[in-house]
Formats: sequence, C-alpha cells, structure tokens
Amino acid sequence: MSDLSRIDIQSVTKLYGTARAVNNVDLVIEGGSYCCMIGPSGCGKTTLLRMIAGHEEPSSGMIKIGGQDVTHAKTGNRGTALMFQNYALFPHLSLTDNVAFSLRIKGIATDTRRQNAREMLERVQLGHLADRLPSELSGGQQQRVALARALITNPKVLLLDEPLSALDEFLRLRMRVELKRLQNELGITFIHVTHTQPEAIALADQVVVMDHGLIEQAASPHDIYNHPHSPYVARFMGGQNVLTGTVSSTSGDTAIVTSAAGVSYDLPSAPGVVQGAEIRFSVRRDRIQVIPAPAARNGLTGKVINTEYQGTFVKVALDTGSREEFIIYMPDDTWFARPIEIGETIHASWQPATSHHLKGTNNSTGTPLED
Amino acid sequence: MAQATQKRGVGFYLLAAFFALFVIFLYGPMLVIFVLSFQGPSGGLTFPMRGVSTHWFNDLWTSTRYGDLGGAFRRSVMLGAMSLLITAVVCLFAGLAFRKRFIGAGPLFYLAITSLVVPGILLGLGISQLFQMLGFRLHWWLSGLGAHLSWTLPFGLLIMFAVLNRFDSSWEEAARDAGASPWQTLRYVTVPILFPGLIAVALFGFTLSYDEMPRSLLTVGGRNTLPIEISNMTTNVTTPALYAIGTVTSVISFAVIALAFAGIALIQKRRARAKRGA
Repeated sequence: MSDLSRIDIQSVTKLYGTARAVNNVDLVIEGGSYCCMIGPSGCGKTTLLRMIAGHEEPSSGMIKIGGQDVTHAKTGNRGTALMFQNYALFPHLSLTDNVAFSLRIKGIATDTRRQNAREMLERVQLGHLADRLPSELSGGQQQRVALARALITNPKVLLLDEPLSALDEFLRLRMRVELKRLQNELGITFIHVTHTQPEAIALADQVVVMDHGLIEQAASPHDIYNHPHSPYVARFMGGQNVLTGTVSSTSGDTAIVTSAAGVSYDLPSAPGVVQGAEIRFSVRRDRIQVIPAPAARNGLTGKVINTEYQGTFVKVALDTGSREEFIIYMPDDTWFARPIEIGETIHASWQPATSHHLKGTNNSTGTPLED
Repeated sequence: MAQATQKRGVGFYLLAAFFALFVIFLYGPMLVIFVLSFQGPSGGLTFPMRGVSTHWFNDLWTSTRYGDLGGAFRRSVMLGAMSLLITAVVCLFAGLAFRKRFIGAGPLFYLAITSLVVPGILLGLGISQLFQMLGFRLHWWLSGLGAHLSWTLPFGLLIMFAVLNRFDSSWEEAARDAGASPWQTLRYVTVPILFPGLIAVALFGFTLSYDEMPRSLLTVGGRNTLPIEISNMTTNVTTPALYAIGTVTSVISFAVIALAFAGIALIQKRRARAKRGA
C-alpha cells in the first residue's frame, strides 16, 4: 500500500500567464504519510494540490503516484480524491446519493451503490441522516459527508483543501483528531492544505512550507519547528525569534555573531558562513530566561511593550530597538512569582545551543498569523 | 408589535396610495376586458353589461368574421414552443460558455444585447429585406422564428447569467473528481441543479414569443400569428368578441406560467421523495 500511494513531484511548474503559481517544485511524499502543505494565500499550495488531483495541468514537470506518471491522467482516474474547501456537496441529491455518486458514474447498480454509500455514512457517524439533503446539515456534518464521498472511491491519496477552515474552533479540533484517526486506520496518503500552523504541526508526518510558488522547507514538524530553514519559515511557523548579526569569527562549524548592539552570540552549528557576513538565526521563545542583570553573551535587553496571559504561559513582547518584536514565553509560575510590568526594561538570556542558524535567505514575514 | 402601534407618518399613506394606483393601473384594464368579455349577446364594447353570457366566446369559434383565428393561435403556440426549446438549450450552453473568458466574449455579449435594444419593427424589416435579397420566402416558422429568437435568446441569456450566479463550479469539479465525463457531469450535476432556473428561461422563451408583435409583423409572411391577428381585429371587429379573445389568450399565458410552477413544484416533490429514501 505504502509504495502505491507514494507521490513524486518532479520539477513541476504552473504558469498563469507569466505568473509562476508553482515554480519548479520537487517533492517526495511517502506513501501512507500525512502531509500538510502550509503557506500564506497565493503561495501555490492549493495549485500544487489541484495539480496532484488533476484539476490543473502542470505547465511543465512530472507528477507520479505510486511510481505511475499521472501528470496528464484524467481526474478521477488517478487514485486521488479531493475534498473541497466548501465541500461542494450536490444540493439536489440526498446524502446517500452524494456519497454514491462516483459509484453511479462507474455504472454500479442502484441498490448496491446505495448500500455501500450507507455503510460509508455509518463510518462517519451519519447513517441516521442518510436520506437528508446537504442543506439540512450543519457544517461539521457536511464535512463528514464530503469525507465519505471522497473515501468511497477507495483512493490511494486523499487530498484535502483547507478542510477545517469553515468550522468553528471547537469543531475544528474535533475533526482534526478524526482526520488523523481516519488516516491511521486507512493507511493511505493524506495531503492537507492549510494556513493554520498548529493544524499542520498537530497532524502532519511531513510539513511542506511554501512561499511564492517555492517549497521553502519540507520536513517533519519537529524539524520545521526546531530547525527552520529560513527566517520566513521561523516567522511563519511561529514560536521563534529571528535575530540578525554579523559573523565576527568562525571555528570549524561554529561561529560567533555580533549584533548591532554589540552583543555576541554563539552559533553551535553554522557551517559555511564566512567572517563579516550578515546572517540570521532563530531562538525559540520558550527557551529564554529573564535574568536580573544584562547578559554578557547570548542575551539581550529590551523594554516590555506588551504582556499576554496565555493560561499555561505568559507572552512577553520586548522592544529591542530592531523593527521586530522579541518575544519571550515565560512559564506562568515564574511570571506570577514576579510579574513584569509594561514599560519595564528586562534582560533576557539563553543557552548557546538554543541559537539556530537560518541558512535560507527568504526573509519575508509571511502572513502574520502566528498566535 | 411595538412598531405596529406607532403612528404612521404621512409618507406611508402617500406611498400606499401610489402603490394602490400602480396596482389598479396594472390589473384594472385586464379586469375590465375580462368582465366585458362575458357581455350579453346584445351588449356592446363598453359598460353597462347587458346580461352575462359566453356568447362572444362561442362567436369566436363559430363565426367566420374573424379570419383564421384558430390557425393564428396554432401558429403562435408552435412558434412559442420552438422558441421555448431553442432558448432553453442555447441559453444553457451559452451561459455555461460565458463563464470562461473566451476570446471575443465581451463583444459577443454586447452584440447579443444589441438585438434587445434595436426596435423590433426595424429588426423585422431588416430580416424581411435580407430574406428577399437572398431569394427566400418569408415563413412564420423560419424568418418569423428567427425574428423571435433575436428577442428571446438575449433575454434568456441574461436570465441564465442570474441563474448561474448562484451556481458553484466546484460542483462540476467534484463530479469530475468522482470520474464523471463532461457529458455525465452535465447530465447528473449541472442540468439537474440548474433545472428550476432553466424552466424560468424556457418560460420567458415561450411568453416573449407568444405575444411578440413588432418583430412578427414583417417577418411571418402570408400567415399571421395571433398578436397580429388580434391587432387586425381591433380595427375590424366592433363586438365584445375582441374581449373574449383577450381573455382566452390571457388565460393561456397564465396556464403556461402555472404549468411551469407546477413543474418546479413537482421536481421539488420528487427530490423530497428521493430524499425520504424511495
């Protein structure tokens, strides 16, 4: 199964006029994995998804599913099923007939296909509503019908276009669990397009971060979160501070970077950087301590411009003189032991190993969706 | 409730009076004709009524004074039916095509709309001249039909645009995703979803053709359609039979509309039944 649902995307480009919606993208999605494509609107993630589904044809390049070239194969004939963002349930058909639609196309007898459709509806806990029309359902129920309609084709790959975006927060979290459970159960490849970072992190085996038609990074959520490739990925996925400095010395793979304020930072791994170069590195917001006096190295000083209680931690935003806020996630007990007021000047420090060199050059902020 | 107990301003009464006038103006004449058509045998074209009878309806069918009224009626219904069919089919596909920004879509659209704007009598004149130049004879089912289509097609297209406005093309994509061919998508998804709207388009195709006069006048050739025949009657006939024909044609128009609504209701009922799991 796993090899049958593996996807190879090779040098795929999609042009709209002269605009490159997807720009020479290479990507391997392992069979049976849960892949989340994430990026701001217009980054090409939906176009890429639609090319895998066959609703768009690549301008150049090749798409293989299970080793078979499907670049120009007919939609609905390549082992994929797409779940639409607005679900696109047929308004004139009952749930049963909606789910049975692809079987009707295949010419399967009415009784058999309705029987199969009812079983599939049972599977998504909607058996009792089988004779209703889509307009009589809630958003969450419609979504499960759409899921059932996609799954009844026994696809090798299920493609989900922002499947949770139309649901309220509570339902979104519940459906998220359901999707993951379903994927485990079926063992097929899920490709899920989203613009919500926690969704991608929570669901995916592989996260594909895109920007301007390019794949910025494709890796496990853990890697994306701990080793972002570029300032863009660090900022877009959130939870990171991005700092800039000039390389003052290197030794092996390590380097020392000096900020504009004159503070030195140790980068444990920055192979290939040269002295005098301006580079960026990231520091996780939850790995920073507040200390009583300015740190000599690996720290900075700033004025508190905002604090936000988040339940399990407190988000403290500092103005450090650069254009970007520096944010610290303080454990709530530490903060409540000695609350920090807005306007106060505080000192931050972190372990040298926390600084992560950002190799990529994409310095855009993406959409500021992060928490 | 609280609002209803508030005192209404003078504006309300002015607007209500205006609306009442509007309704009287709209339905008054029709009502007068309807009532006068049941004039007694010795009655005239105006009130008062001299008894109530169906004499003038009877007179319509039996008398020879009114020319080929039955034939004119048959031709108008046939012409309306052809317009209905062609308008519905052409406007469906034209509407679907206009969703894609094909080359020349803009000019083509304005060209279609132009024939709505051009005075019908001029268009009819043009068609009859063209037919004579080409050496074709004018026939109600050929040049007449063409003249009517120049009216019903653009009208139907505009309605089709409104219908398609509420049509989500991801339904078609979902059908394609399920493996449907373009033909299957059209048959199982596009047309069924659009069907109530298509009935509206077809209805306009019929009614616009059925009562069309200026475009018919110079294009139907030797045999008249009903509106022309009635128009002639207004100058020749001086009996309430004139009102009787007015009542008959109005009833037919209403019957067609009622039929269309019944059709839509039937579809909805069938869908409701399908939904209950037949």
